[in-house]
Amino acid sequence: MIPQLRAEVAKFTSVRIGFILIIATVGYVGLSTAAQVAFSDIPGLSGLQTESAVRGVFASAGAGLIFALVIGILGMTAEYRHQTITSTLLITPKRERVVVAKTLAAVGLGFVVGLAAAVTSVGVGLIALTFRSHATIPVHSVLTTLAGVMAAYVCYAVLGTAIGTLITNQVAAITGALLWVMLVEPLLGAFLPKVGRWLPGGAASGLAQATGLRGTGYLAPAAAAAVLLGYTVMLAAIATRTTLRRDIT
Amino acid sequence: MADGKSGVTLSVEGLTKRFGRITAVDNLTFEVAPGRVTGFLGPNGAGKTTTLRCLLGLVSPTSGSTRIGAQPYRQLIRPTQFVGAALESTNFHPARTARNHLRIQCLGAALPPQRVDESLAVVGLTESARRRVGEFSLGMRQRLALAEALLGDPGVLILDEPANGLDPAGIAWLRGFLRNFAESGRTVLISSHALAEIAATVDDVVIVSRGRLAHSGSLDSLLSTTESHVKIAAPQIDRLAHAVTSAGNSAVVRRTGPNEIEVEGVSAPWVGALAFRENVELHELTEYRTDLEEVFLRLTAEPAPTSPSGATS
Repeated sequence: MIPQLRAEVAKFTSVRIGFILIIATVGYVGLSTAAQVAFSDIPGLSGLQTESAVRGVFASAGAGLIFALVIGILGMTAEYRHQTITSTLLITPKRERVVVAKTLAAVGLGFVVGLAAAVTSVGVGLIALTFRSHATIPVHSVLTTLAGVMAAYVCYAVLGTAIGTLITNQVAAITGALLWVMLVEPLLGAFLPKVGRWLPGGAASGLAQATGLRGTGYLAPAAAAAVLLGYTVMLAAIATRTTLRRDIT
Repeated sequence: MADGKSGVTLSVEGLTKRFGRITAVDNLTFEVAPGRVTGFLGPNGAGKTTTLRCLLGLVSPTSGSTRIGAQPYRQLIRPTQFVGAALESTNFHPARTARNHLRIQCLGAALPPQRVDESLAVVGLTESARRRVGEFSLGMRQRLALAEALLGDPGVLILDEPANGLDPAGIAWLRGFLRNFAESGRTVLISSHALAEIAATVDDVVIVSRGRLAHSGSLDSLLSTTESHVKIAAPQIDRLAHAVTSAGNSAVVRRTGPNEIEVEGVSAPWVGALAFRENVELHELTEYRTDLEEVFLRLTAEPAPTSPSGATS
């Protein structure tokens, strides 16, 4: 498994798209964090006078979660798109091993992207907060939030691997995932909050201890992580019995 | 390639593969021997690539089996050290450099990293190693695919249409390379849609047509099935024709001119020896063979399309 894992990491680092996605995550998280502070004095918002609001600034680290999902999806679908899956399966004919290696690689890459996001939100947040009056920074709860956010990045990258294994068409997998994250889930979350917290995005928010889901609130971090892993295992199990067995022609 | 790894026999047994209602491979059986270059031939769509992909565990057979030596490919441990394969020249991420592509395969197969540069040197791509594959010509991609197949220093090479996109110098180089590879006791299977293209390279041929085996055996045995006739011109042609008929029991003599005959079923040396014995002066003695490509076309010919009434069109 170690050789396959090293190969998977090398696949990521040998093309530019991986770095572009990490830079995109950093940029998006930085903007979100700055915006959270900049627009805090809009009438109607609570401002930065509560510790919870200050914690929310750093929770913006989770803004780039979709990029972790895309990294996971690309890890599998790029192989089909460029037909390198042939080479990969010639080296490792037991296909489940390839999926395990990609999943382990996704754990590592999700962690790296999550760490980049966390560092960005801390850096940008601390600088931005100097321009506004705000409540004391609740260091402990900020750190647990950031740990939860990083766990969410890892879970999303792994979930992306499972999605890519199930839907090997790159365009379909990414379009579907984007529509789900940006359209379907927000709508479901808004109208059916009791359902929303059990969905992947809701669970990721629970893991990041976000606030805002109307009514019931999100799942506790541990339960949220279990839900995300459950989705991953379910998709991977379906993929292993269906698309993964397909002929490579 | 200094450790003298030896090849194994590849076997395809009763292989059938259907994609939906299309039968791509139909009860195909053949073996590929080590120490020889075997050409796997057939027109486009004859089922060559499907067969190779079954042999490599990428496509699951509908029925039948394929083996590398004693085992199916999927059961090989460290398969790239037994079998090197180059299937299509498009199997590369265009944004990756040639070197990085091979480095990834080396990492995944747990091969020593120096195999990357060694393989690039063998195929003559050292200069282009750090260029992105997207900029490569078809011929360069073919060379890179071959380098990838050689990474594990395998005893078996399986190449799908390796001559596509190579210039004449490249084809000549490939021919010499495969010859050396096979002579060291290894197994080589190369597919092609044109017999003439690889006739000078192969020892054995496996010819398929519409998924079925059309011919399997040595190239020499295929050549011996080709028809030949000998054109003879001599002043005393009648005497010679008589001698040919009485000496060659299967010879068919045809008069083509005042002093000329054509004889089927004999060879030029045979006629030459006969003329020498009979003391007949020869003015021309030429052997004509049916073109190898014609044999190939005949073996793989589509049946004549029939109209519903049964009359051929």
